[in-house]
Amino acid sequence: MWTFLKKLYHQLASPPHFYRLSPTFILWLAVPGYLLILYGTIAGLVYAPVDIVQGERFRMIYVHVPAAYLSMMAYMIMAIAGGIGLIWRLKLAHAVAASAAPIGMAFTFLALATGSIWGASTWGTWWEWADPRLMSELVLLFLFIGYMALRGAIDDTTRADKASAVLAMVGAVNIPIIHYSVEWWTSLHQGSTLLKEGGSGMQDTAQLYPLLAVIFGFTFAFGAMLLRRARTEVLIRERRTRWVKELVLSNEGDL
Amino acid sequence: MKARHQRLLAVGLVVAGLAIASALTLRMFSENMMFFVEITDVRAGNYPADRNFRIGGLIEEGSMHREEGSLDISFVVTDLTCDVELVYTGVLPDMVVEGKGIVAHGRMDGDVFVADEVLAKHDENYVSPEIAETMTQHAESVAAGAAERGPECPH
Amino acid sequence: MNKAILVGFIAGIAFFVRQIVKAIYLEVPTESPWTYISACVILTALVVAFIEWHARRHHRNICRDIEVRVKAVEERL
Repeated sequence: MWTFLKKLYHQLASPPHFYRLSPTFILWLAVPGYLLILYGTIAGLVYAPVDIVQGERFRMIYVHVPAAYLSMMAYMIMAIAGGIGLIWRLKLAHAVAASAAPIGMAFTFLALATGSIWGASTWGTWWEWADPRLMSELVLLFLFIGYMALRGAIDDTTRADKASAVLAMVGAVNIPIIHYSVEWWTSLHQGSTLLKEGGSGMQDTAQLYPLLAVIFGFTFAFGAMLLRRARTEVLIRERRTRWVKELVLSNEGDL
Repeated sequence: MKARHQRLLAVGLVVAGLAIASALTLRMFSENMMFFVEITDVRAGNYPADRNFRIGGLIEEGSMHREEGSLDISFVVTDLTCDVELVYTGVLPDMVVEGKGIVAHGRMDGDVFVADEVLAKHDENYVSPEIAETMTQHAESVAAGAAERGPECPH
Repeated sequence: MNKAILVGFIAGIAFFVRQIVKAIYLEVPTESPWTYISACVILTALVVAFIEWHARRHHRNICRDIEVRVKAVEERL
């Protein structure tokens, strides 16, 4: 078992193997991912019963929560992959870190935008500057923007990988701050429903299952997006190698 | 020590150092990170007297009064230990109702909080009509965020 | 095919903008929550579609770039 895992690790960590095998993984992540999202969205938006306090408005949870959770997940993957890349000098890890940034930025933007729309309809305000949850999530958006700007500013890929990995790890202190902001300080934003102490704050399974479905669905879809971008990043880092040249010349399907 | 172990140690030390530094910074600025002041603190006089600030709490059941023919509204905000009366002129968001959470911006005028903005604060509970029906009246109000009254207000 | 996607995309943006403008004009919302819900869902669909499209375009550009360079080197040899 151990030797098998070790072999699998070495195969996947080798860029040509990763490049060749990743389309299969992408397919196996994307199909169940988008199916779960489809089920969760329809069940959540149409069939789930309303919330007795918020009414229909609570349905925005089915896009806001997955976006917010993935924004933090993407940042953690970016920081951890960057760290692995620094310590083990693994090009593939840097490729994954670089791929997580634009996706993470998109989901952070979505979390902020959908949260703002929900806030406008329930709280009565689009944005509150002093709220710790809103501020720390906005800082996350700036971290993603800064990370990508830093990458864009350095032409040499190896140097860009190292510098941006350090930035990603430094910024990772923001993740626990986002998560615990609603517990450490008073805030307008409510606490976590699913991770609430003493059981979930959503007891009706007709509301809960669609939410879990979109969360898992978006996670799988995120995995597919990440691998798709990682393939491109691997190609950039390996463009002078023989296997890429052979791949181009043999022209086996699309690259 | 191999070069890889050195890098591991360096990265580990930097991350640990940053975590400690930010934890200390956050502790120092914890007061400023608060979005609103609890009612108990307001009653104890722990609020900025010279400027506007926010209070947060639940609207006491049965305390909402609307002045006929005007937009003047008053209600009691409670953190289940202490209470403070709030007055506001204007239209409230429709989720501002008795027994639910609010955050209000304004200042203290004597014993009364004069608000210039009242926002609804939703809690982390989502209750469907079916679930509400299966619960007793008491359990429902607890699940919907209305907790038990705490100890007597010391102020 | 591409044209159809583009038309859908523009229609989505137009609808999103319309919903947001409606939501802002409502100020204190007493009207349909579906204005807000649809704005959230449309925005999410648009952003996800955009980053997926962007990833594919980026990949194509990089491939073309490498292809041109490799072929140029081959011809010189």
